[in-house]
This record gives sequence, C-alpha cells and structure tokens, in this order.
Amino acid sequence: MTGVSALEPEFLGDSSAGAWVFNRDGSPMVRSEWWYHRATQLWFKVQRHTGTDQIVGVELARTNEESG
Amino acid sequence: MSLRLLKYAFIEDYAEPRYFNTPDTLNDTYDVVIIGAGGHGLACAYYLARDHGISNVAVLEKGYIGGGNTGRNTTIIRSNYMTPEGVLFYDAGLKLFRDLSCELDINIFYSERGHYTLAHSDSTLRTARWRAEVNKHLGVASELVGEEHIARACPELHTDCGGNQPILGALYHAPGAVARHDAVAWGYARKASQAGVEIHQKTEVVGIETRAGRVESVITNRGRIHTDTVLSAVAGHTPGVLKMLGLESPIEIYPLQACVTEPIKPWLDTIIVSGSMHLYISQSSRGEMVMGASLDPMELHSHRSTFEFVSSLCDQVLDLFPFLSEVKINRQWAGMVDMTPDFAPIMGTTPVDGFFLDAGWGTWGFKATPISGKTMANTIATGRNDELITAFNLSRFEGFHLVGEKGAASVGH
Repeated sequence: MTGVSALEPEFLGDSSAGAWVFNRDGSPMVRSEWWYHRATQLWFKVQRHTGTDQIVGVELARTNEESG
Repeated sequence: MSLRLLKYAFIEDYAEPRYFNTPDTLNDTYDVVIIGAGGHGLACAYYLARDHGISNVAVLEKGYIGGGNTGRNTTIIRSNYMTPEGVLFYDAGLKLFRDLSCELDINIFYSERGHYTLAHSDSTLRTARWRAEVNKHLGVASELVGEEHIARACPELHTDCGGNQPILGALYHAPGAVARHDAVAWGYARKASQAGVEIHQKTEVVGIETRAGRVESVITNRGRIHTDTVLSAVAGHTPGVLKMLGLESPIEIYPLQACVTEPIKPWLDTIIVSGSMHLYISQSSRGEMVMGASLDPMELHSHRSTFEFVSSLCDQVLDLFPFLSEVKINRQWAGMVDMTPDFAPIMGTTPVDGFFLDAGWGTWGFKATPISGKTMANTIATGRNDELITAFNLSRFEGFHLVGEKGAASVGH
C-alpha cells in the first residue's frame, strides 16, 4: 500500500496520532481504491495511477465466504 | 485600423508601459522567494513591499502569471462561513476586495450581487440558520430568507426545481460579489513590480535546500537562489513542494471543474448556489453564465475536463432555469485543487524555519486572495503567524484542532 502511513498506529515511532490519522503523501502515484459498480452491485479493488488516471490493475473484491 | 494603433507601428517606445518587468536574469540572492505567481503569491509580494518595506523579492512561476487556479475559479467573493475563524478571515478579505480597484489602480469589475445558498431540506435550513447566526454575531450581513424572497430577487428561478427538491428557503448574504479574476492577479503583479519585486515566469522550482532545519536556498531550472525565506503558494502542487522538504500534510489533489455558456443579455444579477443540487451559477460582466459544481469524485493530478461533469451539471441547472436549454455551453475547464480534511486552508509557519505555507485552498481560494496575501506578508515579515490565520496552521492536525468548514466552503457535501 502506498501513500498512507503505517497501517497500525503502534508502529508510528515519533509521529503523533493526529499525523497518523490525517497526513498522507499527496503526490501522484499508484493508489489502491475500492470501486463500486452500481448496476451489478459489485465491488472492485482497483490500482489506479493518480497522475495519469490509468488503471493498472483490477480484481473483484470477494467476501470471506467466497474466498473460503 | 485606428490612427492610434497605426501610430504604434512607427514608435519604438510604446506609450503604454508593460504591466510588469520581466528581468532576464535571476539574482543570486533574494530576501524572500515566493513560489507561484497566482493571485495569492503576487498579493503577498505586494503587501510585503507596501506594508513591510521588503521588496527584494522574487516571485517564481513555472507557467505564466494567474494561469493556475486564479484564472480557473468562478470568481465568487463572500464571507458567510460557518466557523468564527473562517468568518473573521474571509470578511477581512471581502473588505479588502471592496477597495481593490482603487488600491491597484485597475478595474477588477467588483460587483456586489447578493448570494443565495438554497435550502431544499430541513437539515440544510438548519445549517443555514446556524451560519446566519454565527455571521450576524460577527457583524456579517447574513440572514435566513423564505422562498418568496428568492422569487422576488430572481423571478426566472423555478422554486419547485422541476418537482424534485422544492426550495424551502435560503441563506441570503447581501455582500456576495463577483470580480474579474485575471485583473486581480495582473493588478497585484503590476503594483508589486513597481515596488521592485521581480516576477520570473517559466521558472520552475525543482528543490529547496535546508541546513540545520533552516531554508538555505531554492534550486530552479534556471539556477540556484540563496534565500532564507520561502513561501509556497502553489495551489494543486503543494504535495510536491512539501516533498522537497520532507514535510507531511493531509493535502490531496482533486480536479474541480467549471464551465461558461455563450454570452447572453443580462438577466441574473444574483449568485445562486445549491449544496444539495451541487451547483452554483452567476452571470459574468460579459454576459456568460458561469457555472460550477462539486469536486470530481476521485483524486487526480490533471486538468482534463469531462463530459460527465458538464452533462450532470446542466441537468441540475435546467431544473432551476428551464429556459437555459436554448443556451449553448461555450467552454469548460478544470483546476487542480488542494483539498484538506476540514475544508479550511493551511497557512503560516511550518516546522522548517523560513519556510511558509499558503496552501490547502481547495474550492475556496479566490475570495481570500487579498487577505491571504496581507496576512502571509505579515507572517513572513514578523516570523509569527498573523492572528487572523493562527487557527489555519499546519500543526492543527497533530492536535486534532480542525476548523470544520465543510458545510460552508463548497457544494460537494
């Protein structure tokens, strides 16, 4: 995952909780996003470059039961 | 061809002076370097020279002056915000705008129109009442009005909104105004230039060097400049500048789009905004209908415009003004904006000594051009945050001291 701080706050080191909640790297980069297709009610995990708007990866998001 | 124009063909020195000097060379040293020659950066340069006698200043611009969000906004000026910090700040800005044509010796076409924020639901009415009370308490003309008030001011408006979301009332802000945004940038550029400030276009900053936590120099595509004071006023590019210094912020970049129709006869002399319908509309001095909507739905560093934006906006506009179906859209465009979590700007000092920030201007920056310039100039000259902007400091996020302007700063909520 790019552009966000450590996923768990205890790994922050010197950084404050406020910085962990709000700060992020806002530069153009490939981000992981959740996209919802209204017609089929399906969720997708999409890798999109925020500089070029190019989608570099898509996978169907599955529930826990489906992925077994 | 007029004789006056023909005359210029034979004279080497034009009678009309250039708006601002364009020096060929960059100096080695400046007292202050301002990154970004938009309205905010140029205003800061002007007030540094006028109020603090600091004129050994370079304003660096990678494109041309006023070519970013200064020339891409929908030019609305108002101060009916939600938080006391916001209201006091934007109202000081609105007062500067009233005298700006005189101050800058250029007609900025400042025109007070009255500003209606339509309410289509009880919850929006409640927010409108809240804002009206905060505004009145701080001496800002703002009131909750009923449907008949809006119908009187704008008889063309279909208050039933095509039957979907009938208008229940509105927040009315009499001082709401529009102005010519290019003139603001060019006016500040000329006055700053006359005071000795250098404006360097096509000059891109590629790095900022520090030593022991202090700014030491700025590296540009035209060489290195030694300076101990840098202001970043680069709407839409702030994360890149912060990265040069290893600073973190919550700023994310989103496109904000707008469009204008072909010019038509003057008929709309107020500014109409609807948060629920995600639109705002006013008529420019040229007769074009200037229209905007909420932010694009996802983060993107691009000036591309979309058909989806203009078609969904027109769909909403036609619910309010069905007769506009005869009118054609002339142009549409986008700007890249710095969004913050609380819809308030990020201004003032930073953890790096000598590096000041004027950022996070999201969808609400044009109206703040004069006051941000003035308060940032004061902050830079004294090294302390101007009292009007202390609440907007970058450090507020660390302590969770947010300035919640979401309900008042944009139409995308």
